[in-house]
Amino acid sequence: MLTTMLRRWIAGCTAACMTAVVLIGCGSDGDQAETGPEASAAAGTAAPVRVPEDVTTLGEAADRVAPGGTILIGAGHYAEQLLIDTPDVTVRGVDRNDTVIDGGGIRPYGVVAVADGVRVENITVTGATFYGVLFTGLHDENGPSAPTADGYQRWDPQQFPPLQRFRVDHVTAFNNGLYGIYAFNSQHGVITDSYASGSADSGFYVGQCRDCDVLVTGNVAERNAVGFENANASDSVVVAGNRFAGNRVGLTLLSSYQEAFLPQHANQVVGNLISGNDEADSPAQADGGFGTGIGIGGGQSNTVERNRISGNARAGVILTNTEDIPATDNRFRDNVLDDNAVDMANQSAERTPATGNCATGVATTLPTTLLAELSAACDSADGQPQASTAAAEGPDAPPGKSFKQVTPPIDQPNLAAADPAAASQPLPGIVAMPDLTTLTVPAADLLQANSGTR
Amino acid sequence: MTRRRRTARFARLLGIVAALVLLLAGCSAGSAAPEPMAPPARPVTTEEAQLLAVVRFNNFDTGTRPFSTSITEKGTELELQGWIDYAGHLGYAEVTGSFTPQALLWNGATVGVHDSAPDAHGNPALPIKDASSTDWVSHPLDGSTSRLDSLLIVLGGLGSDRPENPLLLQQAGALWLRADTVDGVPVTVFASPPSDNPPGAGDPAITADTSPLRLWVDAAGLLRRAEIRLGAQWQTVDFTDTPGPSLSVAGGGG
Repeated sequence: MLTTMLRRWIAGCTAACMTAVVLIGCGSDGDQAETGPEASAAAGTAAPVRVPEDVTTLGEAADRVAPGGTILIGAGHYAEQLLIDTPDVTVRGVDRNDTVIDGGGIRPYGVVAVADGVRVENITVTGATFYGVLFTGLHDENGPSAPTADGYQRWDPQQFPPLQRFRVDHVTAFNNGLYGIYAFNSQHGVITDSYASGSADSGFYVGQCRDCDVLVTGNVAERNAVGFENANASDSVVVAGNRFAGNRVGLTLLSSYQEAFLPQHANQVVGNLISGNDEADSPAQADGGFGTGIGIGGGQSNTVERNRISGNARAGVILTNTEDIPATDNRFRDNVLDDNAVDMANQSAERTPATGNCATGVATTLPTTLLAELSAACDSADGQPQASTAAAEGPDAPPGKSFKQVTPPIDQPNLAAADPAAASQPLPGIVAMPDLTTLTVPAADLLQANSGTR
Repeated sequence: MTRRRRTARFARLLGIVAALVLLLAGCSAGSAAPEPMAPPARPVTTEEAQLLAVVRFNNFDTGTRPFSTSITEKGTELELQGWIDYAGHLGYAEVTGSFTPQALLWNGATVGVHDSAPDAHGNPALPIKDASSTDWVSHPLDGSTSRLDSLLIVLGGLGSDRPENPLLLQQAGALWLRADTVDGVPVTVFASPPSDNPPGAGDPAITADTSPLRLWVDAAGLLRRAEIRLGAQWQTVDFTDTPGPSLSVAGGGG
């Protein structure tokens, strides 16, 4: 029944359509709980459901696809939302730039996955008012959900266990209302070689998980309010080799009382380019942020290594608190920080001071006494107090653009043709993480070929 | 947020606006007799909530919306015609009645007027007079003492730089009131949620008359008309879908 209600919510089915959904939905509901990776792999050998050759709409394709199956979407503009509630399904566009799911500035979602093991590949999603691509373990009869800046109904993670196994590969999400690509209450996933621009909240978002086992790599975020945002996603989140350049804010690691699993902690942010985050061709950041490379708000014990953090007009890194949650024990090592208004600033509230944050290779700080405090923390296992604070002054934030009016991106590279044998395998239960020790500080032109506007 | 920033913006939270108008309404909020055979108000569907969720964003996205209305302020009939620039956070209107015509300019904090004849279309003269001009007579917007100020505050709050959450609109009590037309264009008439938050367990049921704000919305999510309850009276404000000028004021930010 849940499946049926979700489909009704997201697709706005006609009565005839609903009949089909009820028939299919009831059957697959029971199957989902019992379907393991092996069963899915067997089903995945079936021929793909082709749009528009086999069915004319994405909704019909979602109804028809079996566990482990593939929906192959031809070139065209699809004024639909695609909800995947069948496990181990692959959604793939025939041409990344010409297969476009368009929210039309009215539909909240482009592609939503609420089942385990879903891949979304080689497709463009634009014009959604909320999420371009959403993976979420939170959903009920009202549809999929995730918190938003303007309100949040608390969800019980016990009642809604995290979605398992997901992959976003070669997806373009541009000019979506709040978020481009968003994984919430989800574990064991990869977001790779994708692109997000024109988001009024963030281009990429990973939120609310512990032992997340999520890899974010090889992506480009530009002309967003925030390039990459993490709220309460902790432990094994690896953000490596991405280009977060030309947003209002490059990357944030946040503790948020709007989500479960406080505080945010223990991400690895390695080998990224985080530069020039003072782009006016972007929607406003909700708090007026502009010119910041990395913002840590109540984030703790994160490792930030071998990134190039440069040309940020307010600050390379800003440490601050989230209400009563301090920024503590974050470690910044071997980054290249240059041409920032100031490399690091501590803006924590007096009642919630930062402690134990270590940084090497930092040339300028606000206040200047922070420099010695950051260095001292590297030599001590204790939570070295870092009580001195000062506000980083940047340029005035220019007026925010409508997300619909941010300049669209250039065409993006297509995913190589899928190896049928590999594509029919279910996603692994544990993400194969890269060897981070091999990553060096990226060049200033990392992924530049994928950057730019039409 | 600094005071300077605050004064540069329209009041943006609908809840604040709604509370303000409810305050004015006191206990005398009149409920007009329902039209015979009118279908009853009901909670919005998912699709209707999605439409309502983009109305304020579409005003921002459009930039400037031409509008007209009439209002009685302290016994004087006023006719207003002009524009609201939701991206620029400025409103500018010609005010006419049994007095010398005036140009009226407002933002989220301040309203000012000066004597000025309308242009050939009934709109206020452009460019807007420099803010430093001594011709302006201005005062802080105060919705508790002025019906006109209340109306201007509510109108300014009808823009937002991002879409709203359709689920929250449903939970907070947005209602479908009826189908209608404005200038021949089919529209849906909604009652905006009376507050930003869902009603609590002990709160009275939300009816068609609970909210002080009704919105006439076309199929593209464009606002065509608003009704705003001030005291016991509903004020009608009409919007057209014709382009309007970007508004700016030199010499002090309006």
